[in-house]
Amino acid sequence: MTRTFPTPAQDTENRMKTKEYIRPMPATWFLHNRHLVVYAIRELTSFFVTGYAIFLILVLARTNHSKSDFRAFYESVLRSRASLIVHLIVLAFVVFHSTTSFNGMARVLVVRRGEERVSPTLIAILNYGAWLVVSVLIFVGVIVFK
Amino acid sequence: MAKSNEPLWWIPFMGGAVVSAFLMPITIVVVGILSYFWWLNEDELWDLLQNPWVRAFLFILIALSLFHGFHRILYVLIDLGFKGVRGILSVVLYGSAIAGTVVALLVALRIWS
Repeated sequence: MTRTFPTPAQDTENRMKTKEYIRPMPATWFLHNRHLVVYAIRELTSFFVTGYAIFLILVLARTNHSKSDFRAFYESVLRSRASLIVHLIVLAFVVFHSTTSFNGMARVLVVRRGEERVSPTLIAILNYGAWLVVSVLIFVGVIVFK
Repeated sequence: MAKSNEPLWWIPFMGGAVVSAFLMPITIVVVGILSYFWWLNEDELWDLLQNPWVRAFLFILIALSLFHGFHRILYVLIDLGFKGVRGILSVVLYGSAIAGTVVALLVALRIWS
């Protein structure tokens, strides 16, 4: 049996047939750098925002039952210590979500005043100011008109 | 270049980013914290939630937050290595946002409890 060797052209072609390199990306990639950890926490806040939106549907649905049903829900769920703890945890993540959104908006939003770009810091300050005003107005509105 | 429906999802996503950033923290304070400390008792919370403006406010907050949240969850899952099933994830997550919005609307209008 005679052994055949590839021609130089075939040899080059064979060596060129390599697989596309896909950089391995471990699932823990975000633990390698502090900025990535902050990024990962920011992304994690989306679960809390979504979860709380679903919880609000449940709260609203409870108002479509009788008032005694709603009272029972208020006493057993909203007045429980577990609810307070969960609400404080959700609040912490949602506030973090708000701050990263305000900072992000300030960087992304390009506002010009004449020829000059309005400083992102000023836009961020305006975002925080508007957030404070809206929150205080709602809080006072709820307390005063309850 | 293939047509993308991405911009379609970015509109409610950005709306949700703004609305949830501004309004969700104070909503959590009112519903979860004022209620716990009884600064808003069951009758007061009941009356508040009967107000049509409050129901409309909550519907907008819920709907846009769902689109914002599920859109970001999609990218979290892609970042965690689920890129290969992006199509299925998109259908499931955007589908959940649409379903949640429809349920929220029906509940807010008292059509469904």
